Amino acid sequence: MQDRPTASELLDAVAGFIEQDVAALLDARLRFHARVSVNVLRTLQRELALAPSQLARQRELLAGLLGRDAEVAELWVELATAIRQGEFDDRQEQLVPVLREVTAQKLAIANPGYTSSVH
Amino acid sequence: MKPAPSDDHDLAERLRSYLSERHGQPVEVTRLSRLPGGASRETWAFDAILAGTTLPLILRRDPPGRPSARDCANEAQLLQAAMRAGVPVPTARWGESTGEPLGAPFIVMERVEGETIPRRILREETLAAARDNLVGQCGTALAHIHAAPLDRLDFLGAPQSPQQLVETQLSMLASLGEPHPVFELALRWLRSRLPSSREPALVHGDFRVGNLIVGREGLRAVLDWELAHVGDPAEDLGWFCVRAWRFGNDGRPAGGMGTREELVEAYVAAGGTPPAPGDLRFWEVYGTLRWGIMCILQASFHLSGATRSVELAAIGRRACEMEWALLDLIEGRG
Repeated sequence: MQDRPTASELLDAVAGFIEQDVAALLDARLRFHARVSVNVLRTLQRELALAPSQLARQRELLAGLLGRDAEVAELWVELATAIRQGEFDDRQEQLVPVLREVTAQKLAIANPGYTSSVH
Repeated sequence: MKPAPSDDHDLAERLRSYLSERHGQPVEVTRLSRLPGGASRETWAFDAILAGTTLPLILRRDPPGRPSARDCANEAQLLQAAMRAGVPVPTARWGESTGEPLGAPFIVMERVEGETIPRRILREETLAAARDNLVGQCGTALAHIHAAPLDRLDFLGAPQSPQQLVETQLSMLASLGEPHPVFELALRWLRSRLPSSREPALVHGDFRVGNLIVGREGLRAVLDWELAHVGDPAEDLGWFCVRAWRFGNDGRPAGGMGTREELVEAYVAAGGTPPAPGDLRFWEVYGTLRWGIMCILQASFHLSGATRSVELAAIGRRACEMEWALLDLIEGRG
């Protein structure tokens, strides 16, 4: 256990510094990169908060689909390979809801709001 | 070969000397400034003053040491072919395939004034009237691109079939070596729905809101012909409708401004052949997948150390947007 600030609070401090102090000093091109950097730090804050529960859920979902348990990174590779080899061509109704859920998890970290926009 | 110009002043001097030589009389170069954007090619604006007349110009130059996909002299030929076909494009003035005059291959074209930033094109109050015309004008421009004669464009190579394009994406994804189950699913989906063969046409290859110049009255120029090739013209229609190019206006598939029907209607009215049922969706899925794989590729340029950039690094985390959009398309939404 580390002392406060927590990892997320430190990321927030750096993001605030870039946003409030640094960005104003930059030209348009660098200001754009500063904005991207702040977005990256916000992404990391969300990842710190969400990743542990997401990874457990991904393991459960992918293992269920593949019929075998392993480290979650290994299951991702196995699923991608199985789909490429056509092993899920006849199991789309099982596959697609799982892909929805794990993709929504990635978006909850990378770009929350993307899944809720209207079509 | 001389080294690439180290600063703006050196580049201005080399431009002046090149243009003076081409004109056979002294040309002055003023107000040279680098424009933002242009990951694959640098973009510079400048004025050339010849015999008392000021000519607003654009220089597009390959990043020194990193040649782009399209030979600059060929790109000038493409712009000329597009212009003859009735497509609004900047007039190409000079193009060089070697690095001799300016340190890297380049093309100089006349500067077209107007807006190029997608979010402004889609939201700026002063462009409201332009937006009313834009989807129709894009449909018309695409029809004219696809009707352009191919006889002077041999450098584009043989037509690429939908199957070849899909296989190229598959090997690209495989070479990147990261697990993306949704992209794998999209590849299976595409392989089982290949469009039947069409008369090959000139395909722009990157026709989207970010590659247009727009004025108050609407479309002024179609830019960035680096990815042009010969193939199924419906590829351009699908790419224009990819969700990433709607910039938040998700309910308006055609470039964030209109419906697919409006786009196709204008396209057909200008002589384009309507895509067969299902083909537009095929090319939207293909385009969404292609941009998703490009996101991974761009992040890999950063990760390999080839081009260190926080912007490229961050793009890697956008691939999941394309995954979500692909699931929407595959399930018949989007």
